[in-house]
Amino acid sequence: MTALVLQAFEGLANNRIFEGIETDLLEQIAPSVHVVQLAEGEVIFREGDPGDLLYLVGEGSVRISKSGRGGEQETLGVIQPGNFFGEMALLDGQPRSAMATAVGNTLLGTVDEPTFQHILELAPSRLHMNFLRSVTERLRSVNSHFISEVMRSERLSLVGSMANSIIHDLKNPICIIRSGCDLIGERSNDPGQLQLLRMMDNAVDGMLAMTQELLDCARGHSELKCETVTIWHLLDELNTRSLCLLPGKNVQFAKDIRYDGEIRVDFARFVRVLCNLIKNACEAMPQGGILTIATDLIDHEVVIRISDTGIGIPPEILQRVFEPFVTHGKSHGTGLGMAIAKSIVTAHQGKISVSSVQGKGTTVEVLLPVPAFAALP
Amino acid sequence: MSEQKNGSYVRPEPEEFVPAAATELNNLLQIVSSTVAMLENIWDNTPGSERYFDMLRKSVDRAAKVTAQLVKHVGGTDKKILMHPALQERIESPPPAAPSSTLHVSRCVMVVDDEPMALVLLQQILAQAGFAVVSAQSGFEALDFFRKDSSRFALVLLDLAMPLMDGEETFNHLRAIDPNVVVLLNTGFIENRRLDRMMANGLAGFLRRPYRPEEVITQIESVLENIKRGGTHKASNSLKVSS
Repeated sequence: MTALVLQAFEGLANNRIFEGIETDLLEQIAPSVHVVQLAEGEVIFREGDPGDLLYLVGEGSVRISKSGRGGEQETLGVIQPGNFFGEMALLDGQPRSAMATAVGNTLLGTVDEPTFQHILELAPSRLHMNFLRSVTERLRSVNSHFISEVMRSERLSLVGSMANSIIHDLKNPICIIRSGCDLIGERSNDPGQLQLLRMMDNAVDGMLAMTQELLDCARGHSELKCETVTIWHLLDELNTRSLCLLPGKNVQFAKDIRYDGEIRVDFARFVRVLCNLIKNACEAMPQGGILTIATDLIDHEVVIRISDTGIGIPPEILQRVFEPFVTHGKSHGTGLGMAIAKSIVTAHQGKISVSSVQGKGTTVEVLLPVPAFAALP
Repeated sequence: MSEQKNGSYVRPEPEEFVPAAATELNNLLQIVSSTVAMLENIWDNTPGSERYFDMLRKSVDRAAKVTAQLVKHVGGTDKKILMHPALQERIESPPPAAPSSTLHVSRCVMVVDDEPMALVLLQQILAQAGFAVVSAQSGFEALDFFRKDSSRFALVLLDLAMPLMDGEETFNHLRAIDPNVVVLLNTGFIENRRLDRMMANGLAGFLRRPYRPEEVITQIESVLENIKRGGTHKASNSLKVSS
């Protein structure tokens, strides 16, 4: 046995599986324990592999996972240094029931079946005890993990089925309110009445957007449906949806388009994010002002900036501006809108940031990777 | 929000998100409900338009029923209106047509809401009903007004979901300044437990959004009338509020 192996084994000798086993017995076993070094992400065994080794974790840790919903690996647990895994297959001779992967640089000791039997003969009662304790603990943790997963998915599907019917039941009256507004609006040219109708219309927009968010929430993870569009197409959509309303709010529109190429986005979601930002910008300028949309290409990233000349955001709110709104309340300015914006932009591998000077205005900057950068000249 | 990977995004947990969404939906419905009423008030009776207003009101009611389900589903109170037990007896009887007592009671109401649109609408509704109105756009502003002259306000109409300092915290600070403060809470979502706690702490009443403008006027009038007649809603002699 080389010095290196001895040194490595020192860490392994403290493994829980050897707890209470005398040192001279351990010295007998040491030469049969093989030491392996693994790098981050290296697979130790996969589900279904034949199981012929017991593993002792010396350094780093090991993720035990099983393929779950949608073929994704679901973590069952993480084995920390001083603990062991892989004993099940040795005991029942079945193939591996889960996958083991190194987390960070990991040092493992492996014990093959004959050695394992040997240890069992040397210290039967002690080893069984250690085994039982460890397995029980693991069973417990897996159990509670499983229960919380089941509860989570039940909750999600409960909210999901509810949200679906809510969307359905809510959309009808909301659309009727909208057409009611239109019909009444056609019969009026009184500015006061028209203003009330506009407020109602805004509220209807808000409700439609919120029902959509509810639906997304109920789905839990939302996959993006990305398509490639040009900046002009994006601006056109923004124009129909919200920019056309600016004159009525006494807001001037300025644009500074230095990049007019393509972006790859989930169009509906991305437009929703930008509309929300435009709405915030308008709300920050109750007396009117200038809203600027600027685009540029900087360091392989598309920059989209939305600036207003409004009241600005107080520093204490600015630093919390992306927090979801459980503690905040409303969707405008400081609330859910920004949290959702951040989540959606991040999903596009992008970044979003806000800078603001009180009394001068606010700028929100969205950075997106350029689509198919390699294809550009 | 939890960690997310590229290509997909994770929202807040449903139990955090849904109450917030329900609050928001009810706030928006409240705006629609109020604007419909305001609009009808100033409408110059073009023949045939009544049915449009009728349609709007019915749609608001329908939408409100749906959001009420949502509220109930995530543990919010499904009570529409709640009065402090000591004030309860009079809520069913209609408010007197005119102030009946000679005792002077201020008709000044402070409205606290972080949503400017809601604030403007409530102000107009209350002003039309003959109240002097002071608007505060945050709990901080409300406390500033109240600390300067608490005797000025007959009643505080308070929103629950506000950034940085919510309605409950504002309520507790208001009570610290004046334990006799009369506070009506109006919100689209509040958990039963929380409402019970606030009622036990001396909240005068609660009205769930969306409501029709006349409903909030009725409630305010009956609370004020009751207090004028010597009714009380103090925490010290409150009954246990059932959930």
